[in-house]
Amino acid sequence: MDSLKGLAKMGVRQLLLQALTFASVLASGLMMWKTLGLLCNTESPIVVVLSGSMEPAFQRGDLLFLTNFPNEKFEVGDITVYKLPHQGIPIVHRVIEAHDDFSETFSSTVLDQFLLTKGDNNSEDDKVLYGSKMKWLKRSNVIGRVRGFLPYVGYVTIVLNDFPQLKYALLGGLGLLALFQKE
Amino acid sequence: MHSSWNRVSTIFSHASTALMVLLGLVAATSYLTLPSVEPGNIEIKNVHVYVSLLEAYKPNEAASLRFDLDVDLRPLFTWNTKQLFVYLVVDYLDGPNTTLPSSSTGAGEGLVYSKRPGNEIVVWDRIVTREREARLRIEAGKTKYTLRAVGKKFFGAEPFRARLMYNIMPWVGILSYGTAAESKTAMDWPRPKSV
Amino acid sequence: MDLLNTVERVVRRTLEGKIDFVAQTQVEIITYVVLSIATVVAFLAGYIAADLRISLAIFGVAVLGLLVLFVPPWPYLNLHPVPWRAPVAPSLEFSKAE
Repeated sequence: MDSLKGLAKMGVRQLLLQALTFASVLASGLMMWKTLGLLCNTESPIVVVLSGSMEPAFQRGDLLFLTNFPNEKFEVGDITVYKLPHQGIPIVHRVIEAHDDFSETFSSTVLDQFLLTKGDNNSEDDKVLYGSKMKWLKRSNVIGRVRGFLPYVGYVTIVLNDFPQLKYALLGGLGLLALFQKE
Repeated sequence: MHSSWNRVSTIFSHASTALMVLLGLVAATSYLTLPSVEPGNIEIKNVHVYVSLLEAYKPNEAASLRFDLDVDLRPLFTWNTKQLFVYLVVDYLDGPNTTLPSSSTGAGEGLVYSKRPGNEIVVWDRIVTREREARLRIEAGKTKYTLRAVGKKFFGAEPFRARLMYNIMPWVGILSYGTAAESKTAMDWPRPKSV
Repeated sequence: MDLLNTVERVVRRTLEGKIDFVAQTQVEIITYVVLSIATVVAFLAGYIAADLRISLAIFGVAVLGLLVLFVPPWPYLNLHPVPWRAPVAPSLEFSKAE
């Protein structure tokens, strides 16, 4: 095809330049993400809701903005995103019990707490999720507190994760588009 | 703008920026004009403390109570309110010489602290999605979740307070919290009765 | 091979949707202006009516309108075609210059 011949004529230098532009876009994106994490003091300042345990307020695909400042004590009613040590998926549930823990310090300013969480849409609290070894959630398990909310925007990541074929289709489509463009 | 594709992508990119601005304005105005609620009435009665044997050989003290509630949350429903989460909190400090569980086993170890640990427990909650359902008037309401003393006793703990709190969950923007009603005086824990 | 080339040409022509240069600058300006106004109007309308759906509806209508009116190569976007000179046989040109 004519356009394929045109693509071959691009030359190594052009291709390298395109790759460099792409890499610098990725790098600046990563920088912005990490900076946001530093500002909010959490490894994951923006998370996508994965389960329906907080419906009807939080649906799958909604975006949540988190902070985790050490001088802020968690109170009942706060919505936390936490990760259990034996599992990797972040869970978004509300704190329904909070007891001060003076035996260890979480940071230099705030003492640790024993926390119990429960999803608004669940009938049972999370004690079953914690497992038999862990009776309470500690501050160290928590990624952050939900402060802000943006609906629907994260649904793309859920769809891409659930249907990996779509990921390849998307990449393929973008590739085809690059082919058909005159530049 | 020399090709249709070019125009589509330009329009979409400008539109997404404009949409972000629009949603940002909505979120900002909602946050700056947070509604407040007239303090309502809450009354706690029939506090009932008992010993429960949920775990074998580890008796726990548990408590239940009834409450009267009268609060109007309708002003909280703005154009950006998606849902209200309303919850009743019981909070109290442990009494002196309280034993505390170690973080892993939950067994009391007879430790003594000079500062009293605080406890906050949600005993009742409700999700309100419509403005017309936001007027809550409950008589002799039952608690949904049992108050459980964590390896400690209720009797001997500091008197407790009850607060009705709400969480405004917006369509877009910042989550906010507030208190709708507070018990007028702190209440003492009664002696445990056998169930 | 020839079929592929024709397909490629047809696809490219539809994707290009040529409009004249005057229209191109106009479309760009109109896009900026319409979206800015739509944002403000959508916000105010929703705020006054205390309904978020009105804001989103107004905004959506504006974007849809822009897409329908200015993306396909409508005739009113081609009112100022570039005036190309008539093609002249090359041998005549050279003989005249001499």
